[in-house]
Amino acid sequence: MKKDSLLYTVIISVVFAFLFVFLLSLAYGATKGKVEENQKLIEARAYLVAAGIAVDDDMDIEASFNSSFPNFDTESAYQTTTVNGKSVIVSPFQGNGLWGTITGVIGLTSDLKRIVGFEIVSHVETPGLGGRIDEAWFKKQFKGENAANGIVVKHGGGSGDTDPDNGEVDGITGASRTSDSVQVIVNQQIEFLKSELGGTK
Amino acid sequence: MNEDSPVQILKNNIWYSNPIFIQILGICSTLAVTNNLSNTFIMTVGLMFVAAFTNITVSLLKNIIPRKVRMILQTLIIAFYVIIVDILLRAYLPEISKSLGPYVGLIITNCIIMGRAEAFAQSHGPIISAWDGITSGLGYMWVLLVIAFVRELMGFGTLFGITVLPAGFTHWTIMVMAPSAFFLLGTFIWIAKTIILKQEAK
Amino acid sequence: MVPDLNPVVLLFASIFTSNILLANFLGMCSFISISKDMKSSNGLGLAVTVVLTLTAMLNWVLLQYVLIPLDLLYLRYIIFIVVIAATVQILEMVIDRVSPALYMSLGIFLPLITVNCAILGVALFMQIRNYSFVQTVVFAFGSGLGWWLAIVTLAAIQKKLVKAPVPAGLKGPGITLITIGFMAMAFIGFSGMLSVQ
Repeated sequence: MKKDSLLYTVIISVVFAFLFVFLLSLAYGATKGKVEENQKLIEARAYLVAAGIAVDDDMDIEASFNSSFPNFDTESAYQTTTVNGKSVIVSPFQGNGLWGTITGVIGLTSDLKRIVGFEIVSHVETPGLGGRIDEAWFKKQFKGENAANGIVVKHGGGSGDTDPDNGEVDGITGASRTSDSVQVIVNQQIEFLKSELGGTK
Repeated sequence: MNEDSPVQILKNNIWYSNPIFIQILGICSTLAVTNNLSNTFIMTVGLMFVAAFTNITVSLLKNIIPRKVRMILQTLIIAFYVIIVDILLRAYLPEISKSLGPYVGLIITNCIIMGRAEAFAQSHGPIISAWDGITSGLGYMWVLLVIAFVRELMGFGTLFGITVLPAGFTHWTIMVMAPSAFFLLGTFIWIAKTIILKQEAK
Repeated sequence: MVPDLNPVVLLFASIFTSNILLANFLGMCSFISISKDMKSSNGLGLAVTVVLTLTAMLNWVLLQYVLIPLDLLYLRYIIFIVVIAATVQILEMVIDRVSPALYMSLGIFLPLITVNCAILGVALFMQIRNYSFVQTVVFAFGSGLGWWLAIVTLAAIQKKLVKAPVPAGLKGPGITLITIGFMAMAFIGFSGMLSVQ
């Protein structure tokens, strides 16, 4: 068969296409389980962080999650758990970032006046700019933060607001829209929980 | 020295014919992540991997691929390896995969890989083509790491995420944003070209 | 979840504040080598805009009705590239048929569009941000316009630079990149004009 003939070209192209799709679907199938497992772990970890439970790389996230949230109700907008004797409300949030949806989990004291923990699960913000909302220094600011009057994300950024009573956190330098989005999403979630729980107890 | 000797290829790809500041190829996909050393490193390692394997594959298959569909089949081969990299990142390094976002997929359109496949792998054996792919990747990597070094250091005060500069240092916000990458790359080209011109004048 | 973005605001953002080239670094290879004269810059800008809008629409349809339902998302890179290559090929044939003069001047640029990272980049952004059809069209069209605007502006600046005393090492790509850097800074200035949310 001549190399330049149309038939040869078509055959080779079809063979290539099939081969590639086949090999790729193998690779995909082989790792699919791991990818889903990773996703579940990310979410479970977020719940633990939001509840204020210390998470380190060696711990068994799944076991810890199951013991902290034994009656996890997938229908409910929030979960209640007890950490160190205190009741904590943990709730997943999602909202519009600058470019797409930001999702995460937030934990609050039972009177919804103070944040216990905050974690980002997914976002599509600009890498290195808005994407920095997923960095430890940013998320850490929310822990223990006074949320009685909502949270303010300050423009101009900084390296992390260390005062837990001022209700303020530093935003991301050069990513004011994403920072604003986080403020809106968090405050909306707190208001939503307030109405769900029938006002502060 | 023989144009095709491994040492000469290394020299060319790292300096004399560097894909970024001499050939001005492939800057699209990676400049975007150069405000962060870790991301840059992962991206360029990924690119090296794709370039090397693409070159090997194209070299092995060069006698089978018909001329008419050469470009599109080469693109398919590149896309194949990029998808493998993407799948591997998602499964084993999920945080990195998250922070790189769609930029991993853009390695496919990176002109360097297509350029080397056309210019080198089509006319050389698989082992040396692999070497060419790796060294092109290295030439690409070191330039971007230098840019990322400046950007992360001055924009965030950190290197690879570790705070290096004292807290009193005012961060250069411009380094975090797009224009700085252009300025730094332009300056890099300026310096490199000036050195090369001086060498040629001697 | 489809983001809640006003199409008008998205159009403005994709042309100015998040210009596909000046803010997202995509579509540069052809940019740097082509932006020497106005006519080809205009032609290329138009071609890119058309290809971007068409391919984004096609890719959205394929994504929503084939890739996602059949769990073939990992093949999106290949599918998108094939769609882009095919669209450019067909466009080339159409231009050749309709206006041979245009084909003469755009000639070599059209195949270049296939490997223009901006085209694939827009498709990937559209997928990762989960845009609706209207948002996709607006985003792609705006990105094309933004790219066109950037390339024409750069060509104009390059014309003046030819007469300027640029140092030897900086001539060519060096000064072009620094020019692009200034343009990028200027475009950031637009972000005060319209709030994106």
